[in-house]
Amino acid sequence: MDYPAILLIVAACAYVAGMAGALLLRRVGRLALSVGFGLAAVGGACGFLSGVTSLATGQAAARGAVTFWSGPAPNLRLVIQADPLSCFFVTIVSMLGAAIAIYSLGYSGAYLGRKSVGLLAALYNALLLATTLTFVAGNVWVFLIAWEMMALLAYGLVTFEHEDRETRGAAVFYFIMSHIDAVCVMLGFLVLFQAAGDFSFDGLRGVGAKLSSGQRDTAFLLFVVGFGIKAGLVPLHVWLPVAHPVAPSNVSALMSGVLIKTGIYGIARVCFEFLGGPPLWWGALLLALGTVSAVLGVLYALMEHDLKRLLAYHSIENIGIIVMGLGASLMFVSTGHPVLAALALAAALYHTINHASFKGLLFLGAGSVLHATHTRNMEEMGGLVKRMPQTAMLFLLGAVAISALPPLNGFVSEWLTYQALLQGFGSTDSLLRLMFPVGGAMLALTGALAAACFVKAFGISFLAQPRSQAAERAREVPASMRLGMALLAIACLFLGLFPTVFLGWLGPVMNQLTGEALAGRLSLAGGWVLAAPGANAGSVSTAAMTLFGLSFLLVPLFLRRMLGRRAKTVRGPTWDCGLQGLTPRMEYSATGFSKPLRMIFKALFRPHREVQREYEFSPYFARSLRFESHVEEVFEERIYRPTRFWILRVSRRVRALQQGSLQVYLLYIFLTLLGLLLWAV
Amino acid sequence: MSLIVLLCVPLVAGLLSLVVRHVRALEAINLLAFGTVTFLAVRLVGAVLVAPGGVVLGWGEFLRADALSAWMALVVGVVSLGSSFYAVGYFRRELVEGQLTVGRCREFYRLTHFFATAMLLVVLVNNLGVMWVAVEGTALSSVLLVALYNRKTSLEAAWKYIMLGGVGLVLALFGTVLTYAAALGHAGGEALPSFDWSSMRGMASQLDPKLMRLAFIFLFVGYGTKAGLAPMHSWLPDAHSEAPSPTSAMLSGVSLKVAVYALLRGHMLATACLHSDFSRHLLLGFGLLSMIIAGPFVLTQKNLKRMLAYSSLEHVGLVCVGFGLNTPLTVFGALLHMGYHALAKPVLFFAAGNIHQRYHALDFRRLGGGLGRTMPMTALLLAVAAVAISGLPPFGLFYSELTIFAGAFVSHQAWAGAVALLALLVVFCGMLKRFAHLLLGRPGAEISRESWATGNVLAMVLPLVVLLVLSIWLPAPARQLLERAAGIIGGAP
Amino acid sequence: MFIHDTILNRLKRGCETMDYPAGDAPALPDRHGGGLRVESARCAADCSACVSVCPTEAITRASGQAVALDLGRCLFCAECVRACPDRAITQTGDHRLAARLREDLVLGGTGKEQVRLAAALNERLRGLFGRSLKLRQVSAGGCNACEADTNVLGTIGWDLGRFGIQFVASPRHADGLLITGPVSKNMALALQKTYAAVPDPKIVIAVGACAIAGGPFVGHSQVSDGAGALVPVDLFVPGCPPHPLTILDGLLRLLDRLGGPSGKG
Repeated sequence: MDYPAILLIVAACAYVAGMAGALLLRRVGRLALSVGFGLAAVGGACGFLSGVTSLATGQAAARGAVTFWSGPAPNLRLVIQADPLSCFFVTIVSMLGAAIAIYSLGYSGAYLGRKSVGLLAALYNALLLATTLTFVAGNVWVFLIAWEMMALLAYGLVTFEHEDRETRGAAVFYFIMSHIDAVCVMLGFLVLFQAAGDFSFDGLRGVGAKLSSGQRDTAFLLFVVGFGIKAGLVPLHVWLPVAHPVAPSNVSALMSGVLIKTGIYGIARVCFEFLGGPPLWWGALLLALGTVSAVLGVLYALMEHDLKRLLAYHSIENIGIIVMGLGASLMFVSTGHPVLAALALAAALYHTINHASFKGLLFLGAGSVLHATHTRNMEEMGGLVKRMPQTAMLFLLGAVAISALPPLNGFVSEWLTYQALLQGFGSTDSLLRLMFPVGGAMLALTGALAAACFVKAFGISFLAQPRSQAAERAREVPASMRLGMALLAIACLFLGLFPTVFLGWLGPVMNQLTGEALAGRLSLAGGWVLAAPGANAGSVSTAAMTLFGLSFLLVPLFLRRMLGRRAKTVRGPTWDCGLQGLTPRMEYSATGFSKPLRMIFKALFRPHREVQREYEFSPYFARSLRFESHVEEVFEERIYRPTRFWILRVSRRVRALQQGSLQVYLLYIFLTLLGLLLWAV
Repeated sequence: MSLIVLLCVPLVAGLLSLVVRHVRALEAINLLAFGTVTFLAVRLVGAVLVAPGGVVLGWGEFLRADALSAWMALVVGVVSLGSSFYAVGYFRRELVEGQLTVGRCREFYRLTHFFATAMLLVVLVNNLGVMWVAVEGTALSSVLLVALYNRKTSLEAAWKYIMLGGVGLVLALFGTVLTYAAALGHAGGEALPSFDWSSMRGMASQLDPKLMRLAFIFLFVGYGTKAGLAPMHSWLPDAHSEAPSPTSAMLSGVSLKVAVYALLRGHMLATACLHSDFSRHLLLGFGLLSMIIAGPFVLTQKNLKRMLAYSSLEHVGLVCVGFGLNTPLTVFGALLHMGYHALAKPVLFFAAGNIHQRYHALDFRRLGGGLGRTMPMTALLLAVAAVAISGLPPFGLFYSELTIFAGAFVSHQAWAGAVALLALLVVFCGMLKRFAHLLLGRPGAEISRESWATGNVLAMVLPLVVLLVLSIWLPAPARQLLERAAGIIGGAP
Repeated sequence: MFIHDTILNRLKRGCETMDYPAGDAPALPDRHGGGLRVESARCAADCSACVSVCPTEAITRASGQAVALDLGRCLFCAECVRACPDRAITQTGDHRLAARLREDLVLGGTGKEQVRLAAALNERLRGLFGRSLKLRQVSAGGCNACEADTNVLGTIGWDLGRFGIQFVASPRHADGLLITGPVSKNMALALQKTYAAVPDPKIVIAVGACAIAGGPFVGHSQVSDGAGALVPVDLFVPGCPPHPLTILDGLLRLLDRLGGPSGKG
């Protein structure tokens, strides 16, 4: 067994040890915290190293499946397979797991004495283990077991603060949706099993060829629905903004960063490896769903003033971008352009790890803000940049990254996605020529809206003056929390400045899924410039951009140093139009900031605004004023709520069958008998 | 010989308990008897595996144990043992709190023996007529158990149970008679054919198909009522919720399955005789119907034990679906599922019993929430058992369910698997919602934390531990036994 | 079509800005009497007819002293001109009134018959502001007549912009303040904050009787009697309101843009 594989086993052992340690020590809160999260960090580090070395040295591609153990039911075997795709995702989960574990060392301190920190640490370790297992599963049994365990453990973590009724309801909703997606995935795998007769992934590879087209389409749709629910693809996304805010912030970061990526892993593995040979409409469906998710996600994010809900909607947006890449890739596979398919897939997977790093960073930042101010509501924050400068800078870095501004990582992956879409403009297929420009335009729209949204998020939360006592009393968070965030920030920087290095690591994954490694095609000038393959493709160098930008910054600073020595610096307060003084009431509110967009997209949002005024003799001298404004979430209102309502209504009607009268029950028996006799005889 | 001993142990214990008056002594007799039964059942399993032809006979050919019977006997033994273990603590507390008189407690211990004897007789006897009598025996002994509390609601539940069960059994009797008639028609004027199942199975191809068809319909509706298949299940929620928790555990955990066993014997005869999918289609259809019907009732359920009863309806439906699909994988899965379910469901009923004793209510609205705070051990074990019963890993029900579905898909009956899976999903949603709000959150009024008794906790922990162990490691003999049993049902002689 | 017509119209009308200061100043309207001239030598011994008719008590005569007319407090109502029997106070018809120092506005002493007109800024400030002076206007509680007459300097006929003088929105962008109004108590803090917000070096111009000394509101408890109470003033432009020409003359005098060391005319 090669060295990285051993590291992976060490990681798993660390998680198990962390789980056991935290549970055994749970009476001693602080010790349970250190042991549990410390071992999780160790495990994460080992997993990360394992994944990266496997990819970088190409050992991942050479590995086969390993059977560890056989169980009671037929076909039940523990098969592990760490191929390039698995290693890539293991890297993501480990990186995030380690950084968040370090963060949790400080964050969980807030729970000491109130709740069982040992339980939190144990569940965290178990969740990391289950997720890692999902990625390295070598057959359907292990995959499904790990999948369901992931859902169960995530439920336990989401419902951690269960004293609040809202949290309990949100967690139940999350678990129900997770179970629905497990059922869909299970059905999908059963359809594949029907043809393959084998539950192992090795046996399922290429099984699509053995299925009839109806069965393949059914399987594809089942997997899209199942993995789509997990990933948070519109219209299956409604659970995401409900569940992510109520969980403890380190858990939200893990969920947004990693758990929804399991859906992406599922789609990638199933569509590329198992089903193969996709008809054009598969990719088109994914591209369409991805585009809709991206646009709707960011639009709803703009309307939010709960910081964590805002970030949750952004996750939906970014998943949309990833799925757009996957869809484009499938469409290229259908039309026979393997190089372009690899490019689109590279864009999608790059965006996956990017999203994990910057969304993880942002959620940890939101957690820090929550830790310091005890509120998630942006309308009560403000002025935090002076009180929590390092957290503010790290959050800003994450915001810049997610807005796809150069030279950070969001820019690189969106650039790659644009390149992939642009290549489709000149395609001969008419569907591609129709959908890709639309996709590109929508991507541009989401980029702009995302930037606007993060101006709002950062500006309202951190800048200006504190809007409440709680914000005023905020203090900088403990060092471990800042360290956790800094680790993810470093990841963002690395992924942004050295894209060619990372794409080199991604090569084996491309090779596995599309047969094209894109080796050497993506980098020019010895790795400094990232270039897309193709005749008219563009190229960009974020490292050069950064150096250039830094020099632009440094030269004036130098000049000022040299020449402006005698200039006097006067400090004064911000010009406030000569008023008595600036109060927080005068600041821009989150709702106000997003009003123009609310009005532009009125047809989608259907904003509802109600003002109630109590006055005695003139409306201008009101005694009390009540303002309510809310925005409708179209899927929740039009689909989920009515469905829930009708299911319960029908159930209540059906209950009338059990109405209590013995004669009626006897009647049922006789009617059954009669029916059977008539039917059979 | 061993079969007779196996039957006599609970019978003798029952007769003995009729004369014993001291409750502690009754408890001891109970535990001892069921412990012995379980031990003997395990030995029976071993015997069946090595016996020639895979069959152990007793009392001439009157008693007959093949792999299926041995498995059922094992399940009966284990569930009875578990229930009696829990019953000790439960009834002691009931006596202390004055909920029951001593006489009633004695009645429980006595009746349980006869209940178990009857169930063992069903699975071990060869003669179809005696099998019917034994099923009637289970009904009679359990109805008095259901009415133990002597409340208005328990009496009503018992009344419905006896009425509906009785009607069902009358139909089953008619079916049994018709079965014999089918055998008779062939024999002509010679010696009367044996009413033993084994010999009837042997000459199955010579039975009159039309009569057999008719007979199976009556058998199906009759034993199906006892098994709790929809739409004949109406007695189920009332009886299982009104009975004291140990009895509910035995009813849900094993007596339904014993009725399914009786149904299976008829199914095997019918299949062998008719060579068509007639009987299995009935099993499949009604199994699916049960699963579908259970959903709405669980979603809008207000009473804890009734919800558990509907969950039993669901699982019995699934087991019947497994048998109805009739492929090696599905039948194996169904048999395994019977075992795992029998380990998990009683724990839920025990927890419900604890809750009832503490709060004197089973209505979710009256219980409120926050049971995790007021009854931490019970809440934890209830949660674990709920996870198990919902078919989530790492517990075995996940494997058995997935095996059934895999078999369904492989044999191109995917639609049945899909419907079953969706029905399970609906029930899952209902149970999750209720349990989440029950166990989590803050308790309503100021209720002190409950201290737990070791025996009580052990009674709940042990089945779960056994379930977990067996989920991961099924001993080879058990696997062989199940495969043999699957073969028997699937058509091997 | 609209654009076409506009361009043609614009071309037909040509340049409509006045030639001043390169050419002659436009004539003052008939009702405007221009500045005042005080020849105290002509006053009768104990005549104080003008003192009693002045609405803002701008004229004082201590016993045995010469009459003193404070042009900073003067509303230019010309009641004193009509009341004086000896024609000691007369209207000059001269639009030039701006002064650098407050005492230069007090007429009546020997050699002080008329306003000593404003000298230009020092060389350094002339170098900074001479071709680009950005002013922030502070309207400190007056009647807005001074603001209106200042505002008209931005129109096409006067075109303040050709001198590089412009009114800006933020004091942070300004080189100086142009204050009108008597600086009510409500505006006192605003004026101080605005002054503090202007970066150094800065100048302050007080336009109108209110800004110099309180105008008709002089002595009221709710006003500060002019900007001088709060900030140092570099240029006083008396009038109520001063004619735009007076204001322009003052600004150009300050920047030495009229031509010649003492200005033309």
